[in-house]
Amino acid sequence: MTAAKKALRIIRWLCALSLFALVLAEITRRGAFLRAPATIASNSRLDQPSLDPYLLFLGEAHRRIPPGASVAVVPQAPGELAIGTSYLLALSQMPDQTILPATSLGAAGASGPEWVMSFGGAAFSDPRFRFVASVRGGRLFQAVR
Amino acid sequence: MNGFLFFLGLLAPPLIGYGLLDFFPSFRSLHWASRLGLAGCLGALLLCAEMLLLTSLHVPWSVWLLLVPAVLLPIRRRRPRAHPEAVERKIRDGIPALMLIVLTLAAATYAAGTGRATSTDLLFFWGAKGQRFAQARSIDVGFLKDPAHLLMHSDYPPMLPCLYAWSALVAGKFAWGAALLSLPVFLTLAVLTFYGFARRALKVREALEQASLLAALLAFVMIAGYTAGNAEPLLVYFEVTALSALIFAADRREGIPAAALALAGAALTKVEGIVFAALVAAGAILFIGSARRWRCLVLLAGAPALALGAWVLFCRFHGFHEVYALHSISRPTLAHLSAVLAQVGHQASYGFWFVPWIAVFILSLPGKLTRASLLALTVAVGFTAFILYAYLTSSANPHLWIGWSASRVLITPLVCLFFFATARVTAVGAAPDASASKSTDGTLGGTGSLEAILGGADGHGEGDLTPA
Repeated sequence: MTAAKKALRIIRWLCALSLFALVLAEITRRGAFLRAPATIASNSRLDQPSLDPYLLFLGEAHRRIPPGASVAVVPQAPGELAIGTSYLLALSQMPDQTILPATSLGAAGASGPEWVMSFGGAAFSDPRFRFVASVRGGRLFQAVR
Repeated sequence: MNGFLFFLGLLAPPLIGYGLLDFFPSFRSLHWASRLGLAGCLGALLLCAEMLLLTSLHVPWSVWLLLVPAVLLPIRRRRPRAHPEAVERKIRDGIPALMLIVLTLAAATYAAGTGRATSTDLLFFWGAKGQRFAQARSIDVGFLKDPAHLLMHSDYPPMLPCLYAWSALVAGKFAWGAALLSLPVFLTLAVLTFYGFARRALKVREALEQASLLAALLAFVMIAGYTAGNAEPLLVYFEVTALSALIFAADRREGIPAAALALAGAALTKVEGIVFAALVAAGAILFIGSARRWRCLVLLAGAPALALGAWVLFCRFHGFHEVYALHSISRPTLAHLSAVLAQVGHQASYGFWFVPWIAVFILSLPGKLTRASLLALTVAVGFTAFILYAYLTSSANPHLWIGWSASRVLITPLVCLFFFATARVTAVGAAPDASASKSTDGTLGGTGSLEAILGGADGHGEGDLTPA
């Protein structure tokens, strides 16, 4: 083996080991070892607000609301789209219910949602719905029919 | 239990595709590792095609129905088995590199499994679509067309949601935790495929060392870019397969068909995959000479065009037109050029001083500038230009968009630069063992690069050294 080839091998090994070290560094940076995460997003995107509280609320709502029920999702923040983050996460985490955006609340009578969910600071008040429960930082309302 | 079955579903494509490899006589000469990797491509393509066809025929999906072609087709096509591979007696030389590969894959599995690399797009789009498709047992047109699901991009390439739907059908329900393990699954397949192709052109030790470098590079950028559960691991698997086939085996019978299959998979995985496939086909025109150029082009452009065409036709038939409505794409503006460059540069650092880029840059310094290396470089440059172009079409400052996506989309040019470096070094150091390079159909694997095509099968011609 020539000296150039040996040098190349050494450099290749240094690069591979450096990158492997970075893999370990990223793993270490993102949470304690051997602690099971609360949700699949617990250790991800440390630079952004955690999705954990909302995901845990959705898990609880999924258990409490009957399968097949229609549920409107109130956006968490005033500027959030009705079909934005809160709605999309509910859609993925509550596959047994029919998830609707908050705009569906405009529909009157039987065509409107049977349940409403709000989370965090999202305010919701509508005489057509009665408060049912407060769970994991969110609230559940059921249509008065 | 659901999670375990879902994970088994993710592992199934190589098993589904393995029997179909016999339809491609040239694939019988593949190394077992690249054979397994290509079987994964074939299996994924078959599942996706079946799901599209059954949806079009209004036939509900089921696990058994989807498995029928995978079981029946190989029986009809049964042929004599390929000659067994020569035992790799020199594997001992590569044990340190093999250990690094295993450790890297284990670390990637741990990172993904503990939610350290989770992409929130899994929760917003990819998983939601896959879950819904499995519930509906079809590509749910009503769900995709719902205006409330506008942000999911109804006509986005369907490969990953279809594979998730397949796994959910196997498991009985969608398993979010297991979906994260798609990262180590596709990473492993990518590394295996690379090793199999590299082994034809390099000694065991060198092939394993290159594979260990690729594994560490991909594991780091995929974890740093939060890609677990997202489509990037699948896309990168297809990209690595296509580039491995072109860099190491373009002068062999299996090289171009293998690359074409992988490009078809890439085009059905992400919009970026379509661009990648187009750039590779364009690169083939530029850097493949001789009479075989047009045959190569037909395969490399035809396979992804056919796969994507089927999906676009489905979308048009059902009235989706968003991603492929080219007339609606905004024109680029230079108003945000400096912001785009600064933001993309920031994301490209991966939080660790550009180490991945520096590594591939250093490794690309030695070696020869060959046509194979130029192909990889062209795709890297073209893809980077596409990324910048896309960000410049934003009417507002795209800093949020870039922060969300740049570290993921930059993986493709990084992979291309890795292959640029590999092709340069391979052109100099290729000295395969006779046992490994002698294929079962009697052809000899040479230095395994495109330049052999230029001057014919003997590899002579102008392509060995093409100065810049």
